[in-house]
Amino acid sequence: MQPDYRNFQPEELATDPSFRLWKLSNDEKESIFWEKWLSENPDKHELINKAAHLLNAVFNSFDTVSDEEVTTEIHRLSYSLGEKNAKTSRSVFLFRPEWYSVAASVLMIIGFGWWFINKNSPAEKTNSLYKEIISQIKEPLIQEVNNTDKPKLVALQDGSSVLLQPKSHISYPRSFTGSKREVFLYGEAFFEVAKNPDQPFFVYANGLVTKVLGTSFIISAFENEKDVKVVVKTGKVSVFALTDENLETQQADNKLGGMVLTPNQQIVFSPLNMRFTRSLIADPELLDLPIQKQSFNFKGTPIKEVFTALENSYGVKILFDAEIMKNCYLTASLSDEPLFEKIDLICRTINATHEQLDASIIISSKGCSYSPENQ
Amino acid sequence: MDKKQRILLENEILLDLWQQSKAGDSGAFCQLADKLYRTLFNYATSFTNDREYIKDAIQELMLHIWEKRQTINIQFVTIYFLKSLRNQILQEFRRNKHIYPYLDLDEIEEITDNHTIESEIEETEHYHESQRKVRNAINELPKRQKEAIFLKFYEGLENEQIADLMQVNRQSVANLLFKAITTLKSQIPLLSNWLLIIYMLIY
Repeated sequence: MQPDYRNFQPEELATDPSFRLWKLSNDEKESIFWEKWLSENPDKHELINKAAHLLNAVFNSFDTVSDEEVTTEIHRLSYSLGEKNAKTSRSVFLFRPEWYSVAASVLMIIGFGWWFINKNSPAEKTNSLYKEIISQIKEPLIQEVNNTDKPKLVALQDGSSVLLQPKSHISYPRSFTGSKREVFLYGEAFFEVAKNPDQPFFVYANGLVTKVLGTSFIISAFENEKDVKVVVKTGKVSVFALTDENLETQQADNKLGGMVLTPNQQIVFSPLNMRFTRSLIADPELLDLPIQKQSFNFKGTPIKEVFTALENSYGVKILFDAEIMKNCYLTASLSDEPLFEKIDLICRTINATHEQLDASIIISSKGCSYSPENQ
Repeated sequence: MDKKQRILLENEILLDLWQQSKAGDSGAFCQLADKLYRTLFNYATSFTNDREYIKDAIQELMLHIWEKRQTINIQFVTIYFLKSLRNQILQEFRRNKHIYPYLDLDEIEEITDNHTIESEIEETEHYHESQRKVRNAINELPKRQKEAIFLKFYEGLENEQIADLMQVNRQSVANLLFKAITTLKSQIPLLSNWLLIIYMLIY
């Protein structure tokens, strides 16, 4: 039944399940067996030692990941899965396949504030690259400046929305005609990028390029005047320094190359010396903007409250007839769609229509007849 | 308990978690990932020393498996994950040869002096000094031998399973292991000395 351990080589013993249970798991039953075996075979001490040492050596040699690292990575995974679940439940609620394609998007903030002021040589170099990129865009660029003290909503032609922070400006083409969508940012902004894998989204900011293919959440924020900081909440983006070679290789394909950022990672880029520092964000809940914390989970929520939540998060005015819509309720889980997609989804659910007028969104509805229990 | 039973039992626990995951329980999936993480990470060090790359690769693998969970049927959980990770990493290496030139597997076979930088403090201590030598001996093995050693002694897999994973025949696995063990054994006079000391210290 039991193997003839006396004839074993150390390396054979090291792979024996019973021996491994004893040495690796301190299994009680096995240690009784092996201690008895050793007392019966006192000449085989060295065999046992050698096998144990081989195991030790292999584990020493390969075990290079710390408990903290494992915990962090599992936390990161569970975070990503949470986001995925939110999407799944949303899909269930929507149950219209053609909507899946518009549902996913990217949320991002890029901060930077230094580049246009400082004319040092790395910046000069980057500057000429910017000029080159801009010259390749055929559509005229629109510049939006936010001189107010509140975030300003900017709607892009592809359905993406940008919440431009005070003292920031952004340049973008009226429509995205080429193989990529490119915008130029000075200052700080919060992006919700509509998914379109065939037309990757590029944000140029202070010598840093952030490339997005879409499917999920990214957040980046800015800490001081010199560095660019990108923080990823869920999903993936790649970032790379703005150099000739990078532009060629990164723009050529639809894959995410460069330094890939995944959930709960942040990167600080220093344009002066082109250095990247990647780290994990200590507490993902501690994000700066209200929108970053917001998850829009509604369960039989009166539509008035839904609109109030959106108004507060995006700083837009939503106009609707509260009296007519007093019986409208919403059950939905929304997260990283651009604002207009959110509005669109809500309107389809409650059978309403919407239009945009200046900084306001006007909702037209004939009212709802059903009660929240039926939803 | 014989070898097969033992493996089956361990696999049963993992399979249980997998079935729960398949039913949509993301908590169970995280537990499963937690149980497998160390093994997957350490296995990946057979292919690259870039720890951040490995972490990203495992995240990607996990998310991919989670998304595809309905269509995946698993018999042996650990082997399935090891195999998937291996395929993913090697595929990416082949795609991005220019980005990871040092990871080219054929080249790696020929590199034997794998430099492991150790701190001076470690050098001064006998225990760590010896440990370093063992680690170096394993690290200096050609990558495929190192991979086989990992699967055999770290994971306790059978040659047949290793052959399946590494996509070679059983004889090749036996050859890889034989070469690796011979190399390590040539260091054993050295190893067994310190190991004996450690052994006496620990037990």
